[in-house]
Amino acid sequence: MIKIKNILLLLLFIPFVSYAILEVDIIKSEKNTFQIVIAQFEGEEDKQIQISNIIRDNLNRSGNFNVTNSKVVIKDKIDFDYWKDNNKEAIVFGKIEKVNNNLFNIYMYVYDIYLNKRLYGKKITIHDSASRRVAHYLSDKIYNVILGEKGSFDTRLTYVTISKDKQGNKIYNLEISDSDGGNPQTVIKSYNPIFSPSWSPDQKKISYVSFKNNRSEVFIKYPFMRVKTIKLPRFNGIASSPAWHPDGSGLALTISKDGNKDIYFYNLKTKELTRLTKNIAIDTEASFSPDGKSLAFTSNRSGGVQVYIKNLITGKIKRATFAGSYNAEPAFSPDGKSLALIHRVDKNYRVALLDIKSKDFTILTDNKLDESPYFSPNGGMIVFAKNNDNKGVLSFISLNNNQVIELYNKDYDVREPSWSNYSK
Amino acid sequence: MKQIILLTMIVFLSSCSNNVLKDTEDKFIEVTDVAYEKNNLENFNNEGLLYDTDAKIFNEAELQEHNIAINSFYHSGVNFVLYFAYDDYEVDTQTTQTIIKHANFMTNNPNIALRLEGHADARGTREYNLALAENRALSIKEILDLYGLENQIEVISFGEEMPKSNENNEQGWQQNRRVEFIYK
Repeated sequence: MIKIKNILLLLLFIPFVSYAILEVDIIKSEKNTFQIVIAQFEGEEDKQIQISNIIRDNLNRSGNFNVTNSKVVIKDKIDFDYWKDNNKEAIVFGKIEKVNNNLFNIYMYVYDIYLNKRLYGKKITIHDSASRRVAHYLSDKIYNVILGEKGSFDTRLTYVTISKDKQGNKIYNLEISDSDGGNPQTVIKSYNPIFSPSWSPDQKKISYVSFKNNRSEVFIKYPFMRVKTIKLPRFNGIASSPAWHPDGSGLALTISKDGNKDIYFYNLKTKELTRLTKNIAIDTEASFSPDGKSLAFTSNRSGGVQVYIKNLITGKIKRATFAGSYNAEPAFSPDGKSLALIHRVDKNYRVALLDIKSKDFTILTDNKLDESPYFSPNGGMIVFAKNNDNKGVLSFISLNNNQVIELYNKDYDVREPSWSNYSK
Repeated sequence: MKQIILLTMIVFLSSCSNNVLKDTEDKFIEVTDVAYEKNNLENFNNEGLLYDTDAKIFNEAELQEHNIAINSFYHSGVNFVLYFAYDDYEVDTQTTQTIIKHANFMTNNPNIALRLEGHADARGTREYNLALAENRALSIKEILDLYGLENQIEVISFGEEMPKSNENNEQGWQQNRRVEFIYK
């Protein structure tokens, strides 16, 4: 926990310029959800620290839980029969205890109502600035003890918002936030387009594409450190579409130095550039498999736009998508078994899920113009950019029950989402 | 091989528009003539009389002359924006004729630099569109290169980032699938 505290204290000293707060819409689905009660924590009444609200929202958003509040604060005695009669399967309650002005003890307990059994109990001492982070951490614990899987709450998003200055010029903001869109911070503000941000595997860096020099170039920003932004070497033509290797040693990039758009691997240490694809067609939008052994990418080498997978050990390239005439922007699932991608249906571009081995193909949305799909680190959700009547919003779909959440800002366009890995 | 065919095609088109040349052999001669003319101009320039390629330093009078040339070419009715079909970077016959006019202008004004800015509509994915828009600009450059103009040309892809129209319909998209000729 000390580690968490340090990171958050560090955050406090970074002079962020401004940020766009995102609002949330949940199109709730109760299908296939776990019925859970998250009681208000004892000591939350004075509003200094809020934990249970954040946990409730987190679990609801995941699409795996149907969360209800209890009408009363639960201190120790649990009326198991009452909750059983109300079809609840688990109950969470807790306490917040003030140690001094800024330090608090947080207690949290998880009980299985049917088994009459405590599943989890924890006491954590925190600085008040770390309360959101701890609420995410505890949400992950609940998710894990109940579902037996890792949660993705104590992780971060990065995305781009488009605001306007007084003259109406577009301003591109590279933002980072908690996984729920809370705690947003602007990392970069620019009059020139910014896109394709993605967190490095160690969560310390963000690679992105900027037009600040009037052409697409790839940069690496350290959002939490006073370290100069790295610009990757300048090539003729475009340099774009950065994708981190899972070991963090470098990035796959699309480079067109000879006019031909191919994918290269740029090693950050040796600064060597290795060519990964060589084809007269467009090759771009690379994504490494979590084991680093394969690379999925978009190519129009067949004439149409399709997704291909290169086996980086054997060097063999195989076409992965066959449904329809446009499949692009693949992103590997954390287990490496599926790809989230953009699939065209008539004139609409929708998020689809491809099972690589079985070739099962599922279109997940009913939208007009989806882009930038990316898995949550536990693979339970896909975040993507959606266009609502010319307004960019972030959409999250739960793969458990297709529940959809939208994060938006009424004044800004929000797009280009990417999810961090787990923090180390 | 592909280049030779393309060359033949362009020269054929160019001759059609000029209505001067009639058979294949003559068409090749015309290309040689253009190249010859350009070489002559280059030699002329190398004496430092017209411009300094590397430093790109113009005095005011030269700059003005330079701008007048661009301006009058612009007002001659030639298209400075060329449009493309959906997910396509092929140059059609009509577009080729326009490109040849630009080639002639550049050949006659070797101190003028051209930036080809490629754009795409917002449909499809952002990174693919960046690549697609560069291919649009490159297919125009490929033709201009046949006139020996490669050193005067810079290609930049803006993908879908700089739309001309914000409308989400076929009319708007068509306006955004374009390459702009920016002379300086």
